[in-house]
Amino acid sequence: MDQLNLDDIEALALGATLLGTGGGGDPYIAKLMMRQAIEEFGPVEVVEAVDLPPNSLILSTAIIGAPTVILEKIPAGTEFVAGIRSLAAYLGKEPAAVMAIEVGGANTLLPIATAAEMGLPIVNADGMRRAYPQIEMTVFTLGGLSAGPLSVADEKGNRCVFETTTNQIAETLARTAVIQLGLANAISCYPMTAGQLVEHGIQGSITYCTRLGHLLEDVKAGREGAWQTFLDESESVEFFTGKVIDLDRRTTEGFARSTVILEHLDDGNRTMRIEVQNENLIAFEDGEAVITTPNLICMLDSETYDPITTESIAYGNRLIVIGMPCAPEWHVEGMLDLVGPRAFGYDLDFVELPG
Amino acid sequence: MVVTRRATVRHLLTSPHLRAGSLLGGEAGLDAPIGDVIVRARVEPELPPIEGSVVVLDVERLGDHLYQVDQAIRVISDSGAVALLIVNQARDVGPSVRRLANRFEVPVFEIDSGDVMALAQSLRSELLFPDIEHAAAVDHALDSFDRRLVLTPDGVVDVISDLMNMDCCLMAADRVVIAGPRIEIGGRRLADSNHHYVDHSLESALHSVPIAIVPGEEPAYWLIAESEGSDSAQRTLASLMRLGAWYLATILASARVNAERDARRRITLLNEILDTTEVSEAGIANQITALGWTTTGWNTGLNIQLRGSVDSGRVLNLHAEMRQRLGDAGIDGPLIERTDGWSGWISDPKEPPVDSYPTIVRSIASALTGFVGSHSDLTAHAGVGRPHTELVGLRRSLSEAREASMISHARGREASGAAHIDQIGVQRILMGWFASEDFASFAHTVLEPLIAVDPDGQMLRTLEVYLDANCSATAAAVKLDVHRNTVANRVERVCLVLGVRLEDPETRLSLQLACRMLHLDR
Repeated sequence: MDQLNLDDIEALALGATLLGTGGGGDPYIAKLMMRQAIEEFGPVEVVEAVDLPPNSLILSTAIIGAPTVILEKIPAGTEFVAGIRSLAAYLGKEPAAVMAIEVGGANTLLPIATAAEMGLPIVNADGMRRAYPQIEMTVFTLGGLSAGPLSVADEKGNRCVFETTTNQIAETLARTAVIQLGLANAISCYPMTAGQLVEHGIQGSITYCTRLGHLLEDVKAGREGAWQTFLDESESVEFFTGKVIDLDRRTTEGFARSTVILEHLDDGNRTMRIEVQNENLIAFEDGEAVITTPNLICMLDSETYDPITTESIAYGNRLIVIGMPCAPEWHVEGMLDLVGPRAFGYDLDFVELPG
Repeated sequence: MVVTRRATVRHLLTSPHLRAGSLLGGEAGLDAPIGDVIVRARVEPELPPIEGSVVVLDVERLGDHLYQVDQAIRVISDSGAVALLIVNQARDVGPSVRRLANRFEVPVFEIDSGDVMALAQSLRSELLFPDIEHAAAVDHALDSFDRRLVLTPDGVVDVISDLMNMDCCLMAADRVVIAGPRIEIGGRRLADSNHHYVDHSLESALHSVPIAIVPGEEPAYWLIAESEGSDSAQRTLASLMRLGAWYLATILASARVNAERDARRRITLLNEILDTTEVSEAGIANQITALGWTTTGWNTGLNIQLRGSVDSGRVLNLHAEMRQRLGDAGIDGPLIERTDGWSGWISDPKEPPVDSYPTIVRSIASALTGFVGSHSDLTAHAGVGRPHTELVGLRRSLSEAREASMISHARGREASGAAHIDQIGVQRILMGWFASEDFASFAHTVLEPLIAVDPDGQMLRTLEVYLDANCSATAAAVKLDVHRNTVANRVERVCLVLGVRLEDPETRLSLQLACRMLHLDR
């Protein structure tokens, strides 16, 4: 894949929703913004990090805030470019490419729209290959890369740049700024060279996301064997097919938390409980944790095979729950401290996917 | 049915402390027995609750992490714990709890309590109270037995009765009550092996524990109690009875040893008396005096023979009763156990008048009637000798008494009876026959064909009565309460079976003697 054009948008959005693992923000608005940007500025070139000069600067952009606010407070579109420009100005160097921090949810597509607008290529890599709610939850943190200096920009032209000592402080400062700026803002963080990205990033994220999207399109189109192909290629495991019998949403400590309880379609006494903090983090089957973060818990409509985000789940939905392995780049020392179950307050051990 | 050892989840949920709560699910697990009640801040697979425990979980402390309730049910099921009590749920724990409870058959009960520790403590006390009571009762009984505070069967029965506040008794194999008030058994079953058994055929449970004096022997006694109490009361009763039975066995065994020792001394002395020749032996006289007996003056010998399920152990067990019954009938004197009954004598300083013996015979007969009345598996016949002086005379009188009792047995069709040697007269000539082993086996051989076709003894009895009635069918019919033709018919069949003709006087005599022999030999 050298270029992203209008034909790729649907597959990319489908893949991004799946990798959003229930969160990551609804990619619908981002999809519209990407479409408009490509129509206006032409297709976006996709480059591999390794093909860029090692010292060239790569800057990221993402929307930061609360998913529930982002749904209603549509981005103006100017803040993403403004955020990148502020950081570039602070660093005194122009970026050679734009990067998505998380390939999963809306933040997969927004950087592509931004790249189109800035006339820059999008780099085929990211720091999560799924969605997480906090800035420091990236493989870059595990690689020792700093999230700062970072910039936060709003749609009105307010911009700020932080120098931070740790990635956790970067999260705290950015979150504090975002709360004051309306909970739907642009952030540009983890400025790095192409060489650093090659060493520490998750490569091929954009193409992986698009591939998943195409596989799901085949499933949705009802092609024979497509579901099994999808499971095989994504190394996913199908765990449960059930009906939503209880849904408890609450917002505590700055997170949209919820609990989804499914009753098995064939056996009413079998249940699956999914604990959500922005993203789906733990799945319990009959009281036993069977899928845990950083592996992905994805829910799909059992009839249409549309990936379902947490905000859109409703009582009575019939869903398939699959477990998908996280990017192999996560499996380094410190992974569980950063993104394991206990990092989210669940006193549980990480569980490997079967097989 | 086995007595329930522990309270079940169902029992616990009836506690007044849980009245305000409700069962969310897991009804199928309600009958699991409970071992303990424990409080847990969390229920994790790494630290599972102990088997049989009811876990109390304070949901308020879980905050948002209600998934831990699901996890708790799973862990409880895997670890063999029996129920989950969720306390103070600020938010609804959701429908998954009910489903998981049902799926894993773990009862989940929810209640708003406030103080979790106080609730758990109350439930624990309630649960453990029967155990404490049980232990206290068993300890008290053990203490009483161990410190020899009770030394008799009555004492043991009283300890159990007092602790349980219910009747308890010790019963012998023939259902004679040895200690405690009689408990009506009716058709209910008693323990038939060396184990405690509970008969539940009536509303009240009948507990019985068999006691065998010698391990491995058939039980000779049963400790019996009837209880309508709670399961825990029945459990305590069963433990006390088992403990009591063990202690009773030692008391009864030691009594048996003492009785056997005494009996051995008496029987040795009796044998020496029976061996006495003309000259009185000073040694024997001394031993007689040492046992508190006397042979001075006129001695009238007695002999009691038992037939039925009798052995030396049974005679020992019945010795005290027989002494008592004879005493009550005015027969006081030495009584010595033999393997098949007793020998004894009555001493009188003056020569008893010749016409006094019927009184003695009647007294003994009435004592024996009472005796067989309470031991339906036995027959008892007594013989009384003539009064003679000194030791040598006693020997003669005892021999006469033995002959008389044998004749009484031989002719008696009743379960008990007594005869004086003078009442027997010329029948003493039969003694030689009756005492002969050869004749006993001959009598059996002669009557064998008849016994084989006459399991209820009707024909044999008809034959005997017919012969005793001088071969008068009419007289025999009156005695047997049948028509004379029936008698004639039966006699004809007897002759056919035995292949004899009753017109022959020798045949009649032989058959009559053989019939007498069967009484003795039975």
